[in-house]
Amino acid sequence: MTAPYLAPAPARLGRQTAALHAAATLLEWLGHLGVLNIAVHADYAPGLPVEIDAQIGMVTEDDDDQGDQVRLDRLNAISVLLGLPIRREWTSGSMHAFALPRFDVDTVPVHLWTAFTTPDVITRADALTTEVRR
Amino acid sequence: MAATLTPAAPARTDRQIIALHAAVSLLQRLGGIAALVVSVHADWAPDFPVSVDAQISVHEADPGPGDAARFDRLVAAAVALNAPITREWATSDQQAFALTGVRIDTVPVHLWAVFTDPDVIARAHALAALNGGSPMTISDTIAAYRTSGKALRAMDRGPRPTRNFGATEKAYAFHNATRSRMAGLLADAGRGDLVHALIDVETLPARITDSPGPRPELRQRLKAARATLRAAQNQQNPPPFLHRRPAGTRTGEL
Repeated sequence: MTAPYLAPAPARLGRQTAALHAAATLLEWLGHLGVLNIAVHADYAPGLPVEIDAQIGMVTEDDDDQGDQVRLDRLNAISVLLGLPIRREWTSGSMHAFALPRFDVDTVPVHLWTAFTTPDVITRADALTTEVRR
Repeated sequence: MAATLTPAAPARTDRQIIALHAAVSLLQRLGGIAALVVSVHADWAPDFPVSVDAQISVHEADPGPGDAARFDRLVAAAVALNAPITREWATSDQQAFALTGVRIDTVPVHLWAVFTDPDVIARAHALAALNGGSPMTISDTIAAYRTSGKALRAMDRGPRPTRNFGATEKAYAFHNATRSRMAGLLADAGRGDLVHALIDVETLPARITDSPGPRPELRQRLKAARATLRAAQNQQNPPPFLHRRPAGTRTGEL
């Protein structure tokens, strides 16, 4: 067992701090479209990027029964706003994830995504992946 | 394609931005202690606090096994923030411990870690025992969540002159913490359906009252959620959890 506390690790907070500030900037950009659950991982190793994970979420005013549609509308609106296409990402059981390609906010990479289980919504999201956004 | 977009939600990013800045302050306060996965959820409802979730992680350069490094970081953070360590939840092979009562710039911070190594778990237990602990069942969890929600709503409805805003704020924070514990416990017990039922029972009555029409589908859903909870609370042998029971809660109350 480690008797003393950690040999002081080098404080590696610079990139994570920059990412948290960039997340705040992203929310300011997106305004009411910015219903995002934000996560920023620890700076695990200098060779790996520190990025913002932004998963589209819900607010209490949203209709729970239309959750997938609400989140697709948000993804689509953000895609138009930022001029970025919608891409299919992964499938796990009945869950299908869609995302924007990585983009930078203040040089920090952002992974903005959501996932659906409703077949109609998945079909609509697939149709949107062929739209050209610029 | 849907003909019309969902109506625009109100822009509610202010509190989330404040929480992101509080997360930065937390990192600065902890310095080399901080290897944290920081999450700040969307501002779900104006009634609920927006908190910082900070799960202790590791750096590539940390010496030894991950559990030992995370334990050291948890203990160092407890000392740095002057906060007690409590046991939060347990599954068959994992146990979670957290600091309680941490706030940075008024934002509640949930700083926690998960361990699997029995030696590390034993040491963490010894520290948490300083706060006292007792087993927590599914039925306890449901009751604790509903009790804290009731306390909160009662306080919110109180007449203006007697309203105690400090107490209301504490009740919000307590209810929020109870919700994350509740969700963690129930999800780990494979009862994610109960999380949805609890939130339905809490939020649907207001939605039914506020909607212009009778909304029979919402009433139906509320009824189903209540039945689900009643069944879970009445089950004969609720799987035990290792969990600290929040003060002032009773079991069996619906």
